[in-house]
Amino acid sequence: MVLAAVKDDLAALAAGIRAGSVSPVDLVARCLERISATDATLHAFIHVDRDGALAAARQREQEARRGELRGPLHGVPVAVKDLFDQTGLPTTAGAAIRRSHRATENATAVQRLLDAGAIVIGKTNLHEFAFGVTSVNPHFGAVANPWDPARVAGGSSGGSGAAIGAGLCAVALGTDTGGSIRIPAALCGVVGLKPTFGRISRHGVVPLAWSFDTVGPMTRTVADAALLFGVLAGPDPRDPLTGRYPAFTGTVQIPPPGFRVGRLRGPLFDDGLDDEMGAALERACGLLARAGGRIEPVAVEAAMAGQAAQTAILFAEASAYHRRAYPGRLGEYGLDVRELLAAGATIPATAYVDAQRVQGVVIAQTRRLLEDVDVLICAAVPVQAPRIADVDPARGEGWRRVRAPLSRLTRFFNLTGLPTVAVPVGPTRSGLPVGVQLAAAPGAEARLLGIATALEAAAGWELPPLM
Amino acid sequence: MGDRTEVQRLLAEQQILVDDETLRAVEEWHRAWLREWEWVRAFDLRDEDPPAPLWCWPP
Repeated sequence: MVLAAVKDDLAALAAGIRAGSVSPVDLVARCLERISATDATLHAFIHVDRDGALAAARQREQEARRGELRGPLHGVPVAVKDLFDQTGLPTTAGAAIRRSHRATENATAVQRLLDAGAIVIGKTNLHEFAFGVTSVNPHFGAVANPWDPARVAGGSSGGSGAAIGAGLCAVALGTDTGGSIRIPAALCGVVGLKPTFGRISRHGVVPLAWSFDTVGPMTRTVADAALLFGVLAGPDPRDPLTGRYPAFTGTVQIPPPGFRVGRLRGPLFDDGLDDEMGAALERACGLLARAGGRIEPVAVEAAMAGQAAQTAILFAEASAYHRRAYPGRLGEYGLDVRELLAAGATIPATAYVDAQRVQGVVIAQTRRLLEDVDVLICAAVPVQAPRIADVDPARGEGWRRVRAPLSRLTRFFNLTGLPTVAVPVGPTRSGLPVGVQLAAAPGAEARLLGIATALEAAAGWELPPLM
Repeated sequence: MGDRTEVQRLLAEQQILVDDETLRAVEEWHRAWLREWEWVRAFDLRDEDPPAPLWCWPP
């Protein structure tokens, strides 16, 4: 399923477009052909905007010939998780009850892509309402893993992960509330950046849980993630949280020798890690050590309590958001999501408050750790991608058994709001991708992505080329 | 908090009517969450630990 070809990253593509050696029309046409060839199997897209994308490509090409470049993504095909508004297109959120929705304005993140010259080729499939980790969607099809279509792509941004992994577009947007960028990134062998909470505007994005919802890039390389983050990050008056951080220059900080890596230990991070994932984490630590890093074990005392707190906050907020449609239209939700929304309604208000108190303790403990180390490292997912047939809610109860394990290692970073990147570090024995997570202090994306670049270079993982 | 009556009552208060199979699944989820919540019960929260969502924190 993975398409063989050339090696391109975003910088190379953009340079080629600037120089006239890469045609945006050819590039978009090739992406559309690949989508046509693969989507009956992958189900990566909910909506493909063929006519709009080709018209935009022709316009970008003419502009490039005249030397009129809109920005660093001029002529680059991108995909957007169908949780973001784009004017005139439906924002289904992967849900049947939103099929007739039409966006009347662009989400801020989408507008920034367009302002930078990008061409949105389509809206990607996801777990219904982003409330799940498999992207087995009862309304728009199960997103398949490009490395083994019998397996899930992960979720909730599964379509974006599969699209990048299969070479259907150059970069994509995702969102991450409990791991929804990093889980599919790890399972599809791509880079997924969950930035610091509040660095990218959420205006125009369907919420899952306001306390954690974060927008971020999913890309082929760490450099691409940095470039896209630079386009997306920065203050937006329509999302007041974004006023706390400056824009990002796009420049990463290459770590000096002796940079410090805290390897997270303790039950949350050590228990339930299968052999392949444990070996991949060991390998990543070894690669960072050879790249000049000093690896030391670190622990967050309240990590397990924090996990319970994150569950309480996420589920209660998700249930609160859906009160307008749920339970009134309960029968129109997928089997798993309708059950999880009911579950969230059983969280007492006192538990929600205590969860936020625990959150404060965990944040304080983690920030203290980050005074002594540059980054934290742990596995991204503790198990390999499960088979679609084993986790399809229409076929049984297997989805309940994978939900908690797949997000076990990612939710900690939503609770603490830290910038966290999933980096592929190699295949498993069966040829599936495997990734690890690196996290840094709030606002320290430049340092985080610099160390991620070093790990990426040492790991040598490459996707098949786009062109 | 974890018995069937309590979960049923919580759902009924919010007019959430689910079939028996879903109810059993929600009860099981709630029991699992209560087991997870023991980590919070066991944690020594102090009176001076206020609710502190992410927007309370300096960058």
